[in-house]
Amino acid sequence: MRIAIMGAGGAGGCLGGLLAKAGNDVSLIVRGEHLEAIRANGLKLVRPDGEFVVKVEATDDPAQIGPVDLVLFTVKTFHNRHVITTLKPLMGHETSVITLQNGVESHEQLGAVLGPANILPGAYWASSHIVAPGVIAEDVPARISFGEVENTESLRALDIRKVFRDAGIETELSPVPLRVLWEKFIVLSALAGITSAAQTRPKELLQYPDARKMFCDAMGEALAVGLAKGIELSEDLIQESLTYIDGLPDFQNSMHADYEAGRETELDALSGAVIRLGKQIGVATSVHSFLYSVLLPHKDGVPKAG
Amino acid sequence: MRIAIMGAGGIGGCYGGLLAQAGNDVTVIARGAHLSAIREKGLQLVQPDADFTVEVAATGDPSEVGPVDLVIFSVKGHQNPEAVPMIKPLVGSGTTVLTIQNGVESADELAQVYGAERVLPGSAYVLSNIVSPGVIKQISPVPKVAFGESNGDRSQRAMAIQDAFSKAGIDADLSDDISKVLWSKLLYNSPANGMASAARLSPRDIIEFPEGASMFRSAIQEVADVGAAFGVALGPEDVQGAIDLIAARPMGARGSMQADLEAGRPLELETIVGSVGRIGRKVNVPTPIFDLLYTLLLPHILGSSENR
Repeated sequence: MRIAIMGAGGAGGCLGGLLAKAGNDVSLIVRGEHLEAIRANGLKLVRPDGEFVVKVEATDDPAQIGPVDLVLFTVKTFHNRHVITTLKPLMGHETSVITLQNGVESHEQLGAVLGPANILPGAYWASSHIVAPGVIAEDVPARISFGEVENTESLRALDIRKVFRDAGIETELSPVPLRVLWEKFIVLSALAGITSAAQTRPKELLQYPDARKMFCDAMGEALAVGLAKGIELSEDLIQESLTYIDGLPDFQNSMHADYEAGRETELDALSGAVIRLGKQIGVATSVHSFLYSVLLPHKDGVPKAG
Repeated sequence: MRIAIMGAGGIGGCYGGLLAQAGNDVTVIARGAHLSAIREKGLQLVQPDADFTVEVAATGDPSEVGPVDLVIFSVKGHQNPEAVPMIKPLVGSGTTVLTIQNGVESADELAQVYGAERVLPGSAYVLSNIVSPGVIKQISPVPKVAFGESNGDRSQRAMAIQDAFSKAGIDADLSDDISKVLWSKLLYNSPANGMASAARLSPRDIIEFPEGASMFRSAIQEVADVGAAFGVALGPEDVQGAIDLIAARPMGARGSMQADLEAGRPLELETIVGSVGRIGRKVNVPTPIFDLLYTLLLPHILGSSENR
């Protein structure tokens, strides 16, 4: 399959490496020294069970690639405003685009520019990151879930699933991908917000009963927004998510890490989206509004004053 | 006047230095390198347009001092479990304990041990820090203090203390409504320190953002609602006054708790933030913003592990 990956960071780089190794024709759209390193030495993937280097096409200009069968959209959400229109040269008559971003709005943002019928919403779970230019470490094996917005097992979705599975990527074809996105969003927006504002990792923070309650309240707000929007969600999600997070080994949420390092954060796609969508549909989001007010000054990275 | 300063940090050290320079018999209770430096070289006060060093008695053990006329109680709130009983040797039958701690609960805490008749509630208004052991830097041009009898009387002892402060160049307001004074400080100090600590940014920087300004206003309103239910008249003009005070601060000017958080020191979280929720629960006024501030900052209350 001819595949272009927009944003070959931790997620895109990892998927791109695996798909290329399995024999697909993969092009990465990247910039800077990461691009130079991939062009010079190929893409190196360091996995728990070994490492490999694979040759892939790499460019910073989608027009040099032309139409492909599949686009994986894996940039950070705050790039969307500038990046979505640059995908146009990749789009042919039968091109599918899978969005694998955080948040619940990206399939609509891409659909508005590229046509909603071409977009398959998806979610990505893994822990992978760039360790050096051209080198991606995958700590936890990648898993993705995606599907058609309109509950159908389309031929294109089945084809894509086969390509992913043949590349060794655990892949689920979801009949209700929006529910999957929302389930991830509810947990992530709450966890990213509270661990960033508390500047404390989940393992330590969730030892405090008040913090557990705040985490559950924040998840509850996003859940209420999702339910009001007609997403089929279960109230059990809150307790299940708490149990799931409690069971994880010590880790740092990526927005917390970005905040700590003075990098731009995905606040607008997480707490910002809970507030925005809540306002549209008349659901109060007081915990997320509070988190947003104290995190907003850091949204674009290190503030000038302070 | 025979005066002991319990807690010769930025504020206690500043007042102690000025009161000693004016001829009072001042003893500072201090610890560690700060104590050694004061014993060896005296207490140095660097003011905006002056700089002097004054000899003061200094000790880590109040029992070496004995009863005094006035104890100025200026340790951080989280040191109270240790510091309140520690001043016992300083308190005799004619001693007044003036507390200038943050929050609105300090006088009650001292009164439980030493009797309400010995305690004067007060509040400090001076930006001042320890810059190195034995050296205090006073940033505000004129240090201020407000205090008063809980019943509003202009007592002999209160006037004598006011006189001693005035002669030392400290602007001393003898208030007939000291509760209102303390709550008015809480009204801006708690939101400013709480929000600044949670946002890791100065209050003035936060209110540049409409979402920050609006959250600030709600936080101030929470304190006002709790105060009103507690019996202290805090109206819309007081709320606006607190907002104006925050807006008038320079960009980047940190609150004391925010500075402690950034330096990894223990936090006055209970005194400054926890008190609003605690009193709110007593008077049945919800304090959702202060509850969230408390929750987010609680993991840092003891300071960073390197400083413990």
